[in-house]
Amino acid sequence: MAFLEINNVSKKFGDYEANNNISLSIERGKVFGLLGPNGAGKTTLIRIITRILMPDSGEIFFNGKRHQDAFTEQIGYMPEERGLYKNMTIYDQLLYLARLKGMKSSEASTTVNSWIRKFEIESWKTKKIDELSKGMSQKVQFIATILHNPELIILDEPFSGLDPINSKLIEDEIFQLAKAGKTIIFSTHRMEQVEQICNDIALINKGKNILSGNVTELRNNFKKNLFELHFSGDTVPQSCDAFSVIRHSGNEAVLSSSLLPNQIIKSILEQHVALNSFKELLPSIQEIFIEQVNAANA
Amino acid sequence: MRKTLFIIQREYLTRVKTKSFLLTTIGAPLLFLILPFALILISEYADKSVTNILVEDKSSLFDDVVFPDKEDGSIYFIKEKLNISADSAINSGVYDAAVLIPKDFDLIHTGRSPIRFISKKRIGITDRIHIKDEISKAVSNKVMQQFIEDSLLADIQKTVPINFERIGSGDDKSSFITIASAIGYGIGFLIYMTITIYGSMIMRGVMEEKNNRIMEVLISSVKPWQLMIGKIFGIGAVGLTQFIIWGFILVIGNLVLMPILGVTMAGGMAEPQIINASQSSVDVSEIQQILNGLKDINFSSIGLGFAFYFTAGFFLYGSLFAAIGAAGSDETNAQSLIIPIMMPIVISFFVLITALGNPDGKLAFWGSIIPFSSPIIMPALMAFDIPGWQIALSVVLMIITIFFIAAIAAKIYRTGILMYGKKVTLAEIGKWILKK
Repeated sequence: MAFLEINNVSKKFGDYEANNNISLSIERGKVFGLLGPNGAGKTTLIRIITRILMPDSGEIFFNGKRHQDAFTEQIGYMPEERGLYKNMTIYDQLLYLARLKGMKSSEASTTVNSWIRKFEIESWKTKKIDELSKGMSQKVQFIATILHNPELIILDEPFSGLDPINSKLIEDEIFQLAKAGKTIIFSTHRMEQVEQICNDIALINKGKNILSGNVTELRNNFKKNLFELHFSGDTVPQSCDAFSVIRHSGNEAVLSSSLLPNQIIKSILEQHVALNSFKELLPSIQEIFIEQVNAANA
Repeated sequence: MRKTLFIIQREYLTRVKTKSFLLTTIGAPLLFLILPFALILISEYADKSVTNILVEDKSSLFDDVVFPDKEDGSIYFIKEKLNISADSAINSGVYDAAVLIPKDFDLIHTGRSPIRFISKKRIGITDRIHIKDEISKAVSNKVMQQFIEDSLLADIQKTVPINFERIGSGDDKSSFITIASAIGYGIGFLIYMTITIYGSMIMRGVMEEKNNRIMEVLISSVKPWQLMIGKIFGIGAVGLTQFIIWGFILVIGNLVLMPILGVTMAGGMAEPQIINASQSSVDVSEIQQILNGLKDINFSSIGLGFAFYFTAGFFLYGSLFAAIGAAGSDETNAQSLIIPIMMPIVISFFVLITALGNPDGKLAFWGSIIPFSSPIIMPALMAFDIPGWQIALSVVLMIITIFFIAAIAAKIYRTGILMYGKKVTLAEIGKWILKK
């Protein structure tokens, strides 16, 4: 059974259907990408999972049990619009948020201190958020999300506003958490990150789940049978029975073929082309995303 | 429940620990201590000019009359018969002004040939009143002297004691009414101030959380109603702390500081009392009356009433302030939404003043029953003996209304905290309430 099972969830605001019969199944220990254009209904779905909103219809099962308020202690949520108390110190703030998630005072204080050490912000512990840089407060926000050791972590655009070093820090932390068996829902617009980080994705558009599945499988399912090759020498591959050359520039060419790679390579070599590299071109998640959204809107 | 306590704790501590809390808590009573001194100092130094007024009595009617100088020493009346004209006496600077009583001045028909007052500089309103009063007093005394014997005169000028009694309850002492009204006004004012000051603090606190965007993090951990209740009680506790500190300062100020400062204060005030020795004996009996009046006040019922209506009123209005803070998109938007909430508070306060003048009247009755005005009016009326059924009715209505309003406020709050960037109107809030 999946860790989080979303069955036919719908939510309307007046006449506006923010979520329309969405079903998703998210496995334990996986990084799940929730994709979709602005206003697609991702935030509404996240708010339903965090029980900020109640669905009009549909069910959610959390770790095999019907979802309930008590389970929110096992959820860590970092909203896209970051927010912390400006007039509280980092330490007090983290302690407070940990206690609202049900941690005991002593436990909360030990955990807060260890995260502060891990993220190397000890010297900022007694500073107020007002005094911090944006990147620094992002780190604090991330700590606030995970410090109560939640089973399900929901990150809405976790890398926005972060420099490459801090991005890497958070990214590594996400992998660590997934490895430790935590389930992570990751909402973003940045597709290259989806390919790097996510195991599975769901594509939401206009309140509907239009596509979901494993990232590698999806890319394979949407492949266009295109191959890219690099060669040296003057012999350029020519279209033949086995493949047709889509484009060619310098020592690079893109072929289209419905044959298996081995058969294509054999045909290329028969044309005496000095082959340096050959690989299948899989569509990026971004390409699938745009194609699917356009098709759905058409 | 435990989490609600954490919220209350945070709301309380983050405010009590600030410098501005310390400043207002310590500063406000200091200001009240300094204010009277400042006023005395201002009156001492601001207008040190003395007006010497010549009284030229050509009628010779007032030869045996002494026109009293103004207590603060700013006006002196000097009776003198001059060889030169009053105008030239003023122009030469000997006098600043002159009261000219004509030769044919008539004590009965004072308007026929009127008394004139001439001056070079403009005379201020308080001085004018003093001059007019003194001359009028002298004239009316003269009239009475002419027609009434001296022994009768003293009898006429005294106040007549009247015993006010109420059927069934015996004595209805004026001193009791005065004190009950003062206590009522004080309590009503305190609750009114608390609701407006700390109510808007609640509103700003909610707006801060909404605009800071920490709201979404918070409501993924706790329920919105917990946040709302936590905020109302946390800030209520801040107010209570402030009042307790002020109470202490008041008591300490009275016990310790006043005897020290009182020396200088009394020094200034004692003098006129010594002059009017007969009046000071009246003062003593007045104090006795106040003490007697205080004995008749039922402090335990006032205390209970105050505790209930303070809490109930604060919670009732606090939840509405929280709802507005959640609904408003920014400060200006919230200011426009707050009007329907401020209106009953302000109206209640005005009704209170009238109600204290007639505690058994219709206005006082309805004001003490209707739940939006009862938190301000009922505890103020508690000093008078209000019928038990009236109190019971008011309390029951209040409790019902609190549940009803809190439910509505929680609904507005819940919807409002997730609304961003849109200016909200009252009509829209109405729609939120009606939504299932």
